[in-house]
Amino acid sequence: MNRSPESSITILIIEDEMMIRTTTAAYLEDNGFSILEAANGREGLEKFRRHKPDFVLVDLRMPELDGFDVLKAVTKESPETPIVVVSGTGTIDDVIEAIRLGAWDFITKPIHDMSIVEHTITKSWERSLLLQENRQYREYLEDEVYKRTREVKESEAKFRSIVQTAAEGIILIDGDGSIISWNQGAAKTFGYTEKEIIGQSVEKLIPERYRGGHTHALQYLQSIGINNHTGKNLELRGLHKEGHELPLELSLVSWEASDTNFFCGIVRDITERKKAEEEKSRLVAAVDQATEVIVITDKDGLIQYVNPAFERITGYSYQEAVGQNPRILQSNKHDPEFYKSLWDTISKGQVWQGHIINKRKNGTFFEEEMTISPIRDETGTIFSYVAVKYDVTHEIQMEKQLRQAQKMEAIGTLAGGIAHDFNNILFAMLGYIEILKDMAPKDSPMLDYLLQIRKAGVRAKDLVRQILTFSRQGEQSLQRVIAAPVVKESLKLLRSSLPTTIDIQENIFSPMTQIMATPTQIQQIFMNLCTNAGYVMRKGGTLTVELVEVELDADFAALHDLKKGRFLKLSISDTGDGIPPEIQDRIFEPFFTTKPQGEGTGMGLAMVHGIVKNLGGTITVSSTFHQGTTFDLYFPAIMNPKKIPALTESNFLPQGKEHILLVDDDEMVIKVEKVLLEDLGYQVTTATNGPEALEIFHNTSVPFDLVLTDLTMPKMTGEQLAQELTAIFPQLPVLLTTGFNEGLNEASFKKAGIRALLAKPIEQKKLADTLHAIFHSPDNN
Amino acid sequence: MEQTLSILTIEDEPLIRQGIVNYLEDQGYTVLEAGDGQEGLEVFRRDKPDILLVDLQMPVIDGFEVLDVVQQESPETPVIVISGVGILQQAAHAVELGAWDFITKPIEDMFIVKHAIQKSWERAMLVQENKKYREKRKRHTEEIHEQKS
Repeated sequence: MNRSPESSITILIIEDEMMIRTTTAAYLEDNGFSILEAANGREGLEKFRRHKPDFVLVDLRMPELDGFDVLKAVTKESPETPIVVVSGTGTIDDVIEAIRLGAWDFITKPIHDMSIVEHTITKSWERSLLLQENRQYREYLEDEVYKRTREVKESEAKFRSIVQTAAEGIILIDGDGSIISWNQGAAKTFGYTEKEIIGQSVEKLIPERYRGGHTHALQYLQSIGINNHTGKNLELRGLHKEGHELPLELSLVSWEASDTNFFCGIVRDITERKKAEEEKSRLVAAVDQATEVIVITDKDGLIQYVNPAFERITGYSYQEAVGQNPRILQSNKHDPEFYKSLWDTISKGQVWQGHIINKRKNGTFFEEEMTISPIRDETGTIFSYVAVKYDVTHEIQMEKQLRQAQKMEAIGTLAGGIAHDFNNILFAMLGYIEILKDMAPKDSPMLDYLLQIRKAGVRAKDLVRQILTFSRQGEQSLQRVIAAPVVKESLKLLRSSLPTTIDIQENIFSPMTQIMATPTQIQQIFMNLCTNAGYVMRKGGTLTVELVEVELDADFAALHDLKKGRFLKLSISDTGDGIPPEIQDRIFEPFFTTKPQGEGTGMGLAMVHGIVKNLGGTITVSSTFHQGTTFDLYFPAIMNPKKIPALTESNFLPQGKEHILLVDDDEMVIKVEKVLLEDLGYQVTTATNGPEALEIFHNTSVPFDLVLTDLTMPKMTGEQLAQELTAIFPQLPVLLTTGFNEGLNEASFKKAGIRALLAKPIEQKKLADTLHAIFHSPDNN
Repeated sequence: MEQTLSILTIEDEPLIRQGIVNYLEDQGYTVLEAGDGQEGLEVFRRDKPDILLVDLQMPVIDGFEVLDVVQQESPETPVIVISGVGILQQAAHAVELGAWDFITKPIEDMFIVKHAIQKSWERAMLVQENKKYREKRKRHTEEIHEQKS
């Protein structure tokens, strides 16, 4: 190659033949080399060691230390220094030996051309440079490889320690499913040590019933290639060394090596999480199924959750409620101070407890007992409020119902007491009017005045009767009645009295149901309610009358103090303006009226209430503003209906001639009743107390056919008297009169031989019918 | 490595050629031979020998021409020229043109042929190795640059 020799190259020429040495040296110097000369081996080695030449040219055959010795020394001391030997022609064996000892090349003497020397030196020098350069490269690369290897090792050690100490199980398997790497997390999760599991099939970690599926999945993953499934979290079941299963979350990574896939599974034991989830779903179920209303809001009070009880009670669905302020329920029944104090309490972190009236979606109110608790995060900051509410509307209603019943009871007792006394007074007044009427001269104006007084007295009697009806102390001779015909009949009567602008709907669904009542009571109730309905629909509307047999549930029955079972329900609905909620509680009170002064007595609904209660039923009212009012009346239905004879009524007063003993401690009453009886043709003897009556009875010349006695008397009651008499004359009919029949025990009366009870003041018609029935009944002798 | 080396000997003097071929075969080389430059180039192109031994003085296509073609077509293939002792200038000229080494005729000892082959092959290997290292180093430097940037 034509590379020009480097000027800095120093060549040591060791040659004993001075001619050759100087010629060579001169030639090489001319060609730019630096030359050192040595005449023998010893000198050569000295110079070599001292000057460290770049190149050595040495004659093989020299006295003393020859070229071979120099060669050995140089290659030993500096193997990288090129050394070329010069050998005589025909001594090729020397050359071979020299090359074996490490000579780089050789030149044969005689040297025909100096360029051969230069060529040989150049080639060896070039080789030296290449070797040196390659060695540097190699060293550089080896160094790099070393550095890289160290980096990789460090990095691997880092990752290994991360993998080993990770809480997650990190498991590496090969394409056949054999486990090839196992960390501490995996050991903790599955119970196997690294030593136990490495090389085992991954199936050991899978419950038997899932193994088939796992194998398929692995094959599938292999077939779809790598990393189409990475980043996905799977939930599956693992098998612990001790045989129990555990829920796991697995994320999978795989990569392809030369001929197989590797899978790395990162496995997390989610037992605790599962437990927490179960716990949570249990709590959610509890909250969902709670009868208490539960509302959760954020810190600003916006609703985040409501349970089904909330939906049920308020009418707002979950979707409607979430995101709203609970203000949607505000009834405005409380003043702003109330709400302010509530918020002040809970925002201070305290629990608020109290009673609150709220409004449903449909505008109606309900009452709740509410507890609001703030919920704090770990730093103590309030982030949510939980309200647990218990709907007490029902309880409040029960309480009201009870209070109302007690009030009505008290009013009834009071009114009844007054009416009783008043009744006796009226009775005497009317009696004497009857007597005066007979005594008054035919053409005297006195007769007309007496009739006016009687008219007023009769009105007063009516009022007393109404009060007694309300207080349930009126006459009670209940009988089986089919309600439907009575209702229909009453409706017919009513139709003519209502304006034509009122449409009447008649829905009789239970035409045959029997109840215990009197037709008059049913008529009274019906006319009262319908007249009211007509009044509120003066401008027109629809009156709906419905009669249906229903089964009352226990709750309803309990609330209204009824026995549960079959009831006849009479509903009377109007389309009037409705009853304002605040007076709904009072409408059944006596003398409560909304009609202008003079138009109503306030006794209508009170009477209805009294009658219904008296018949063992109840009455409820529901009213919506501007939509109308419905009264529902419930009467116990008779479960074994019998055929009932049609009722007949006549104005005929049956007469009699029998001898009657009349007993009453009130002389006015005796006089009036005596007139009534004698008017009917009967013979009358009177007594003012029990013992006197007994004496008269025993000493009479004309026997008595019947005894009519007052119940309440000094010395001996009417009941005791009856007992004494019937003890001797069991067939003797005894009638009892009373103005106030509370506490009457029908069974004990029957036992005492009392045939019938008559309410004072006694109506002549009633008295006539009763006496006639007794004297003409088949079982009377 | 000698065992697998293939050597093409191009020499018009059959006696010399045969001597070289026999010797090299004995040494375990795979030997290809050609009696002139024309044939030599054909064999070179067909069999892609590792090393060529070429006599400089041949009729029609001489050693210089062969050297020139090989230089152009496969510069990394070592070419060793054979020249007569009396015409060393030619050998020197061939080396200037790119011959890797030369051998003088008459060949005093066949060891010289083997030595020339070994030296050339070693050099070829060193050059090749050097080239690889150079490329590796270059790549490596680029990688480092890339990582840094």
